[in-house]
Amino acid sequence: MSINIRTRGQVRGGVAEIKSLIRHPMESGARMDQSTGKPFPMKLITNVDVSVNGNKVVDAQWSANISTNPYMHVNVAANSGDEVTINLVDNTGETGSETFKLR
Amino acid sequence: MKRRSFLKATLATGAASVAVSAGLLTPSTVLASWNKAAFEAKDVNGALNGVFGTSNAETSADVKLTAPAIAENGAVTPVTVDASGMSGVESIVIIASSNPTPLVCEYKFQGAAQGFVSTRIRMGETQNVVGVVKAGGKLYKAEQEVRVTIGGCGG
Repeated sequence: MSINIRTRGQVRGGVAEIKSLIRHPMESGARMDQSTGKPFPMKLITNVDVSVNGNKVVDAQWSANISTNPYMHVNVAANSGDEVTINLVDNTGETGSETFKLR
Repeated sequence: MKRRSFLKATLATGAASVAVSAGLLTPSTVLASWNKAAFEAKDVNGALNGVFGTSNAETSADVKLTAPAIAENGAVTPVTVDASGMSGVESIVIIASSNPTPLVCEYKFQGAAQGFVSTRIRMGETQNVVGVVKAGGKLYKAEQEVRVTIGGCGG
């Protein structure tokens, strides 16, 4: 199963506003399950990158301080028709990827 | 004698569970490009040193940090760091100063990317949120206190 990403990119005056909503628990591994007394296993998106037309422009690393179901907004100088790809990986090896064309 | 062997056994299993919960047993290849030292640092200076190798950041009005003055729910605090007015922005780091591990995220920019990040972060208590921008080899920061009425670290 791959991580679910919903993205929107809008070009305004040569700048693309790329907004993503990601469905992910962002479990830090420190939170206790009250019923068993054991911590919930760690499940955390650690790396995110954004590419435009195959060139990597944003390279991010995340911690457990990012909220559950993360939201990310970055701005990139781009034109409509450019192809944007978002890739992410979590600590369990699960990946997510989304490619779309800017309108 | 019995007491001693009992202690030994409990200590051994205790250490193993600590290793699991700290994520030490996750495959190292997955975390290869994850800055573990910086993300596990317990204070702001440790986090900055882990990312940039220095904690010397000067306050700058060109770094615009947007965060609510009062966060009703610390688990989803919207934070924006806007340094698009600066030239040569290489990276942006967000820090929640009093969280158990303060470093929230690190964004590196190349080529067409602009120095701008907006995201939602977890905050356990009332504290300062710091946005640190590296531009032209120097560090600039902006800081703001966010009052949290419901903690976010419990999930």
